[in-house]
Amino acid sequence: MKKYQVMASVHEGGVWESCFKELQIAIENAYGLVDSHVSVSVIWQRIPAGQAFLAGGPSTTSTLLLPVPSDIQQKNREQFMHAICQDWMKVTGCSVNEIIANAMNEEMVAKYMQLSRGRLNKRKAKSHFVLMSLAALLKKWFRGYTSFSVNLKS
Amino acid sequence: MPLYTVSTRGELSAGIKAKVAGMITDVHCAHTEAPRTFVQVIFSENLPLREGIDLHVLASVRAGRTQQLNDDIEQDIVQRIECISSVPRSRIEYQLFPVPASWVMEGGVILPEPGEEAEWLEKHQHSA
Repeated sequence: MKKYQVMASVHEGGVWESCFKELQIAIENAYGLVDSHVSVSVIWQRIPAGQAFLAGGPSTTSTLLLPVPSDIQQKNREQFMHAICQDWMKVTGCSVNEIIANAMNEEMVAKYMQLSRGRLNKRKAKSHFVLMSLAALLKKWFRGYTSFSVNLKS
Repeated sequence: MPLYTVSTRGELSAGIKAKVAGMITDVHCAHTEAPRTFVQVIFSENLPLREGIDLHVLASVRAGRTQQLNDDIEQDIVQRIECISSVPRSRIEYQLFPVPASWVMEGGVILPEPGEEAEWLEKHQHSA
């Protein structure tokens, strides 16, 4: 069974917190359009107020980074993103302009993550990530989802 | 898309974050003629950045523009961030990550290729 890890960038305290289970199910269901035997996990990346902007002003937009197989057909990629956007709007009540889906080939996701990690000091980042992982585990235990802040010390 | 992620070793004031976000939006749109509603800027603070850098910009943009245009955007953004944030240019790192437009859905539709925005806007009535 193939595993996909979705990164959902969402606003801290946003409506997603009360409906993350439905959103996760919607994402898992949509993955059925790209692969029949998949396991999907969602990491919720929380953005504190005042740290996200769209068109130069405060943003309420959520962004999904969705790894897909590299051999996916464009028509299939579009159907997949469309399904997720529709369900996201239905569940959260957000507008079509408040959800961005990026169905990126999985090897490109790996490159993106590598670039993102590469900006950090490996030694210091390691200890931060250990603490973050512990906090994420506790959160998962208490609230049922894995999340972390875009700020390492918040 | 574009999504500019600005990461800092410390914290920027709310005013500086707003200025940087506005400036990145202005610069990106001035160089590319992309609608302002495409431009997203996210700040990530208190990160243990690599030695030698205090501010990092990861620019995830639509693929297909010339190297020269991407270089001009980079130069303009870095120069202006230095002025706004007082972080010296030598301690700012900018990295580009081009993504095919056809992989991204915004406003419920697939993004246009660079240069095809006007036709796309007309078709989709996107507010710029």
